[in-house]
Amino acid sequence: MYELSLLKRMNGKIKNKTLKYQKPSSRRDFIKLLGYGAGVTALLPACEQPIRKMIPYLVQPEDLIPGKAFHYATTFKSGNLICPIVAKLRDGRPIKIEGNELSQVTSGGTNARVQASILDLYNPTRLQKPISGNNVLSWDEVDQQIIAKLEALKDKKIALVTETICSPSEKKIIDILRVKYPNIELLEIDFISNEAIRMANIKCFDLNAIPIYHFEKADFVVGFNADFLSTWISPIEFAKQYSTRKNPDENLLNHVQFESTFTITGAAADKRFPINPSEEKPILVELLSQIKTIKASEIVNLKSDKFNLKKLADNLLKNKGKSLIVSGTNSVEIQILVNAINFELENLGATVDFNNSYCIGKGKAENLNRLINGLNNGNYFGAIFYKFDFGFLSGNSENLFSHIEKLDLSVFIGTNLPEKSKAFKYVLPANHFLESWSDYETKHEYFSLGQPLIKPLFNTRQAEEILKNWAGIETSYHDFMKTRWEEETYTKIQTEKPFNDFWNETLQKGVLEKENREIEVIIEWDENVLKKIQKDEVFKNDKKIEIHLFESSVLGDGNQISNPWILELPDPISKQCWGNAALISPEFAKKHDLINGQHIEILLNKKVVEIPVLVLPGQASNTISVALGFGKSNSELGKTGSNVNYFVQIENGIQKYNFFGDFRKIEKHTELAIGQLHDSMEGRELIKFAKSDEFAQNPELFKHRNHFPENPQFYKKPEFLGYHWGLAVDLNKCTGCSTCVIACQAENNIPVVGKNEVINKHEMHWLRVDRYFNGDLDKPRMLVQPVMCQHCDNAPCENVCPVSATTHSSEGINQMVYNRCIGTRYCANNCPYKVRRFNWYDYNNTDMFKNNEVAVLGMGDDLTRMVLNPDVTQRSRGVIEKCTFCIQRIIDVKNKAKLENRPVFDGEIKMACEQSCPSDALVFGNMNDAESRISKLIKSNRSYRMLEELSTESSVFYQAKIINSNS
Amino acid sequence: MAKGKNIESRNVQITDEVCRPLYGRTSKSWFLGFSFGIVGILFGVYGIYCTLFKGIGTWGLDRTIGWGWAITNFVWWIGIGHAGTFISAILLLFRQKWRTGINRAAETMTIFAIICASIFPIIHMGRIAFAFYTIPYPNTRNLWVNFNSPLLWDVFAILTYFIVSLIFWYIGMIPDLAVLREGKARKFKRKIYSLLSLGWQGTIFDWKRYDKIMILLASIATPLVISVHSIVSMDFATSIIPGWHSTIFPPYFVAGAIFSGFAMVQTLMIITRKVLNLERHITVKHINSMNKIILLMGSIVAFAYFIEIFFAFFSGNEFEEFMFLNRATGPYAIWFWIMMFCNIIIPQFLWFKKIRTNIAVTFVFSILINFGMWLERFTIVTTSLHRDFMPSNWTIYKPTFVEVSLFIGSIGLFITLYLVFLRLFPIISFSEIKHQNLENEE
Repeated sequence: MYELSLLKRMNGKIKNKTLKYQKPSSRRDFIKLLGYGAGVTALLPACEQPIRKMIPYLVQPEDLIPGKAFHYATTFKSGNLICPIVAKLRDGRPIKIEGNELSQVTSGGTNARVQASILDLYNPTRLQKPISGNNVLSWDEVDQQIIAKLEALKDKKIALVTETICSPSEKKIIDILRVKYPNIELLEIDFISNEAIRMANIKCFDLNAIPIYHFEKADFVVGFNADFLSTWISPIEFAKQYSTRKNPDENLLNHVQFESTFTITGAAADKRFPINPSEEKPILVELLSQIKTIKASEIVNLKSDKFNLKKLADNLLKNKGKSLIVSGTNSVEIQILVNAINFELENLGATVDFNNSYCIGKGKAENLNRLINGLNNGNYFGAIFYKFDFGFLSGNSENLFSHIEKLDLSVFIGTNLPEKSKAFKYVLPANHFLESWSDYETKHEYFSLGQPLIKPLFNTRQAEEILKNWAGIETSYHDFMKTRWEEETYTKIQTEKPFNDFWNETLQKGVLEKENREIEVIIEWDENVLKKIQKDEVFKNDKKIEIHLFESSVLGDGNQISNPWILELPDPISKQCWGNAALISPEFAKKHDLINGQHIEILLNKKVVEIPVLVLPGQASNTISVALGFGKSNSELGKTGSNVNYFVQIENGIQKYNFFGDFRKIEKHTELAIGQLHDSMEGRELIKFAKSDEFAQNPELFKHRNHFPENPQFYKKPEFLGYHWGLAVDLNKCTGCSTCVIACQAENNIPVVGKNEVINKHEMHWLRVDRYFNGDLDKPRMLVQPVMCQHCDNAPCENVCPVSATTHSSEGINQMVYNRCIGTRYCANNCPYKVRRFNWYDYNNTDMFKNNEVAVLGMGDDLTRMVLNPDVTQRSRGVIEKCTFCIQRIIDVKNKAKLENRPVFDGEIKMACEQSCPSDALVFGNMNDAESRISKLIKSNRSYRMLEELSTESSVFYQAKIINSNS
Repeated sequence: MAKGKNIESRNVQITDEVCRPLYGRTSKSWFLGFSFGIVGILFGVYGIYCTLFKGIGTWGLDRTIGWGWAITNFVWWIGIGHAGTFISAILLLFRQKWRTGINRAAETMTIFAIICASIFPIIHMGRIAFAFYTIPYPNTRNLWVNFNSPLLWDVFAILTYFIVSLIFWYIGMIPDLAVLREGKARKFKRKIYSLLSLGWQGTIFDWKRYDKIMILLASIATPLVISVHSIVSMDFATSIIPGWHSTIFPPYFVAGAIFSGFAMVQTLMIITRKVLNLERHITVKHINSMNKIILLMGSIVAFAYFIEIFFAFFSGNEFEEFMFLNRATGPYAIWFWIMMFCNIIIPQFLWFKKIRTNIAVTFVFSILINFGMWLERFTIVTTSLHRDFMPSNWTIYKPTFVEVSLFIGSIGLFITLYLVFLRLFPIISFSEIKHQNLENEE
C-alpha cells in the first residue's frame, strides 16, 4: 500500500502549509506586494501604443466647429495643367481635393495629378526656408540682397526663366518688375510644348493661338499621337466632353486613333492603329489627298490600304463639319496638315473654334535656345528661375549648371528642391498653391481663382509675393490682385453688383467664365502653305529604330516626382509604378531577344541613357517609347526612373520629341514594379463588350444570366428596407485614367507601400483599375475596368470570418470592423474579386512595436500625417481593409438629411471615386429608389454584374462597353 | 505453474527491453538527434521573431495568395496527427491486435504533431494578440464569434481532438507508469511517475475500469478521427475558390490524412526500432500491416484525385476546368506531377509482399509519401489561389526564408519533443504487450 502512505504523507504536508499561510501578513509581505504592484504598473504601460497628445483650443475660433469640414474653391496649376478645384478643410488642414463643379470647363472633373497634389503640401522634401549657399536667410535679408544685386546689374541682361504665365495678375507683376528693371528678359519655356500648333496657326491663319476644340460637338474624331484624354492641352475638359458622347443610346462617337505608344485615348478609341512616329506625316498627306480626291470625284474607291485611309476619308466626309482631327506631335508641318484636313472637312469654326483660345502653352523653344546660348556666351549676368524646375530643361543644357554657378545673380524660386541646387546662389521656397492666392486664365475670359486654405507651413512665401517685393510694390499680393481685378476685369463685366460683392462671390465660386465671346474670328485658308511641306519618303523608314518621348499620363511634366501617391499609381497602360521603362512591342522584343526588366542603353546624338524595357502590346513595331518627367535624382528615394528629358532636341526652332536612334542591350536586369502581372482576360466575361451593330441587333446581349436558382444560399435572401446602396460603372465612359485610385487613396488614408512592396504584390489600393489586352498582341484592344469592393449581398467574405469582423449592414454595405479583425486573411482568399487588402507590414506607424515601419518618403511622419482624413481610421498591421463605399460620406449626408427631416436625395452622396472622375463613369445611389439614376442604369440593357454566376449578389453594376462599328 | 513463471520472466524481459532507454546513459545518437531538433527550433524562433516583429509581409504571400506554406504545414501536420488516434481508437474497436506494438508511438506522434500544427494557424494571424477572439466567451463588448465560419469549427475540432487524444494517450500510459514507479529510475523521477500513475495498483478492478474507459474513449475518439480532418477540409470546401470548393473534400482529406499519418508512423517506427533495438517488439509484421493500410488509403486518395478531376470537367465550369489545367501545366506543374507520382504511383508498389516487408524500401516510400502529401496540401492551398477568377489578380507565390524557417522549426520541435519523450516514457505500451501475450498463451 505504498501509494496510500504517500498520499497520507502528502496530505500532512498540505495541511502544514495551509497552517503556515494563516499567519497574519507581515510588513515584509506588504513591501513585497507593493514592489510587485509598482513593478507591474511600471512595466505594463510599456507595452502600450505610443501616446500622441491632442491639444484642444484654448479659445475656440468662433466659426470653427471641430469635426465639421469646410470647402473652399481654389485652383490647381502645375505646368500647363490648370484645374478649378474645391479643397476640403478639416480643423484647419486641407485634406482632400475635389473638382469644382461650377466650372464649365472641367465640370467637377480632376485627374490623378490634381488629386495627389494635396500630398505635395505636406511633402517633407519641400523647400522649407530661404537658403543662400549654406546659410539660412530671413526674407528681409533675401529682399535686401537681391534688390541690391538687381540695382547693381541694372545695365546687364538678366533672364527670368519661367513656365507659361497665364495669370493676369502675375503677368502684371512681372511687367512692373520689367518696367523697373528693363534689363530683365522674360523667357517662357514649356516642358511639354505644343508650340507647333501656334506656329502652324500663324502660318495658316496668322493667329498665334491654340484654338478651342469641341469634342462634344464631333461625331467623328481622328487622333494622331494626341493623348487628349490624359495629357494633351486641356485633358480634363476634353475627357468631360468626350464622355458625353460615349452613350450608345444616343449619338455614339466614332473615334479612330493613330499612335505610337498605347495611351488611354487610344484605348478609348473604336479603332486604333499603332504607327511609328515617322509614319504620321505620310498618313496625314495621304489622308488629305484621299479626302480631296473623294471630294472632287465623288466616287469612292474603297480599295483598302494598310490603314484603310480611303474608308476613313469617306467616313470623315460623311461627317463634314462634325468631325475633328487632332495631332499631338510637335511638328509644324504635321499641324499644318491637320489644319488642312480640318479645313477640307469644314471643321474650322465648328469643332475647332478660333473665337477663343487657350492661354496655356505659350512657351517657346526659341527662349530655351536664347537662354542656353546667352549663358554660353556670357550674355546673361543673372538668372531667375521662377516656378521652373531646372532639372527638366531639354536640349543641350547639360553644362548650364556650371554657367549658372558663375553668374552674379542666380535665383531659384519654387516649391521643390531643384536638381543641382548648389548651382544657385539663392534657393527661395515658394508656397504650395493651397497656401497662395492666384487667378488663372485657362481660356480667354475663363478665370479660375485660387485662395489659400492654410497659413504657410514653413518659412515660405508665395512666388508672386517674392517678385512683387523686388518690383517695389508695397501692397500684399492679395490686395494687388484684388485691385487689378477691380480695375481691369470688373470693368469689363456687366454686373450691377458692387465690386466687393462681386469679388467675394467670384472667390466663393472659384470661377468666372464667360460663355459667349463677341469676337468673331474670320478664318481664311491659303492653299499655298501646303506647298512648303516636304514630300516625305512615304512609309519608308520601316527598318530604323525610332525613339518616341511622351508625357506620362500619371506623372505629367514631372513636377510631382517626389509625390508617393503619384509614384505608386500604376500607369494606366503599362501598370508600372515607381519608375519608367522603355516601352517596346512584343514583335520588337522577340526580334531583339528582350524581356521585361532587361536593361538597354538608348543612344541618341552621343547621349546615352540606361533604362529597363517593358514589353507593351499595341506599341508601334519599330518604336521605343519612353515617358518624360522621370529621373529627378534628389528625392529621398534616389533616382526614380530614368531621365530621358535631355533627349528632347530643338530643331527648326521647336522642341522635338521623336527621333531616329539606336539602342544597345546591356547585361543587367532589374525587377520592375508592375501592378498587374497577367494581361489577358483568358476569354472570361469580366469586361463585357460588343460592337454597336451587334448590340443594336441583340439588345439582350449582356442580359444572359447563367442558370442558377433565385436564392442559392442556405439563408433567407436579405432584404433592405431603407436605403440599398449601389454603384454603377460605365465601362464605355471609363478611360482607365486612374484618377479614382488617387481620390480613393486620399479620402480613405490608404498607405503607400513603396517599390519593393509593389514588387511583393502588397499594394494597398482599395480601388484598382484592371487592364486587359484583347486580341492580336500587335494590335490589341485595351479594356479597362475599375474594381472596388462589390459589396455583395451574399458575400463570400462575410461567412468565413471566424470573429465576424466583416458584416453586412442594413443598407447593403459590406462593412469591415478593423478592431475585431484578427487577420486570418480567409476573407481575402474567398473574395472572387480579390479586393481585400491586408496590412502586411506597419505601413503607417500605427504598430505597437517601434522601428518596424515599412513606409516610404516619410509617409508615417507627423507632417505627412496631416493629410489624413480624420473620419477614416488608420489601419494597423495585421488587419484586412477594403473599400467601404466611402461610408463616412454616406453617414455625413444621412446626418444632414436627418437634421432636415428628409430622405437623402439622389446624387447627394458622392463617392470619392465618383466625384473625381473626369468622365462621369461612376454613379452611386440608392437602388431601392426606382427614380434614382442608379436604378435606371441597372435596368439598362448594358448592365451586368461581374462574376454573376457565383451568386454573390454584388451591388456594383457595370455597363458593358460598346465599340462603334462604323469607324 | 511453470507456464506462469515462463510468462513472468518474459514479462520482466519485455519491461527491461522497453525501459532500457529510460535508464541508461544518454546515447550519442540521441544527442545528435536532439541537437538537430534544437537547431531546427532556433530556425523556428527566428521565423516567429520576424513574423511577430516585422509582420507577415516577411512571408511570400501577397494580395491574391493569403495562405501559403503556413497553412500547408498546418494541414500536413494535422494529417500526420491522424494515424495515432486511428491506430489506438479505431483499431482498438476493431480488435486489431497487432496495433499494440506501435500504438504508443503513434499516439505520441499525434500529440506532438497537433502541437506542431497548431503553431501555424496562430502565427499566420495578423494580430496574434487577439487570437482569443476566436473563443466564444461572454464579454462586456457583447461580441460573439461567427459560427458560420469553418475556421471557428477548426478551433473547436482541433481543441477537442487534442484534448481527447491527450487523455487517451495518458490513460493508456497509466499501467506502464505504475510499473516505472517501481522501477530503477531515480527517486525524483519515480515520484513523478508515482503521481502520474494515479495510484494504479494493477488489481483486477483497476484493469476492469481501465478496459472500460479505453473502450469508451475509443468510441469518443473514433468520430473525432473522421471529424477533425473533415472540418479542416471544410476550410477549403465551403469557400468559393475553384480547387477549394469541392464536396469530396471531407472524405478525401480524411483518407489523405490517414495515408500520410501512417507513412509518418512508418518513418518513426523504422528509426525507433533500429536505434532503440526494439526489433523484437516492432516487427516486420507491424510494418507489413501498416503498409496494407497505406495501400488502401493511397488508393482512396488516388480515386479522390480522379473524381475531382473528372467532376471539374464534367461540371462544365470554366474556372474549375482552368484550375486543373493550370495545376497540371501551369507554373507549379512540376510539383503537381511529383505529387501524383508520390501519392498515386508509389503506394501501388505495396501490392507486392516483398516490397511491403522490405524495411529499407518502406522507409524510402514513407518519406516520399509524406513529401507527396505535403505537396498535395501545397497544391490545394496555393495553386488554387494563385490563379482564380480574375486574371488581373494572378500572381506567383514563392516562399521566403522566414516561411522555410518556420517549417524547419516545426520539424525541429517535433524531433525534440519525441526524443525527450523517448528518454522519459516507454515508447511501447509494454503492459498491453504483456496482456496480449497472456491472451495469446490462453
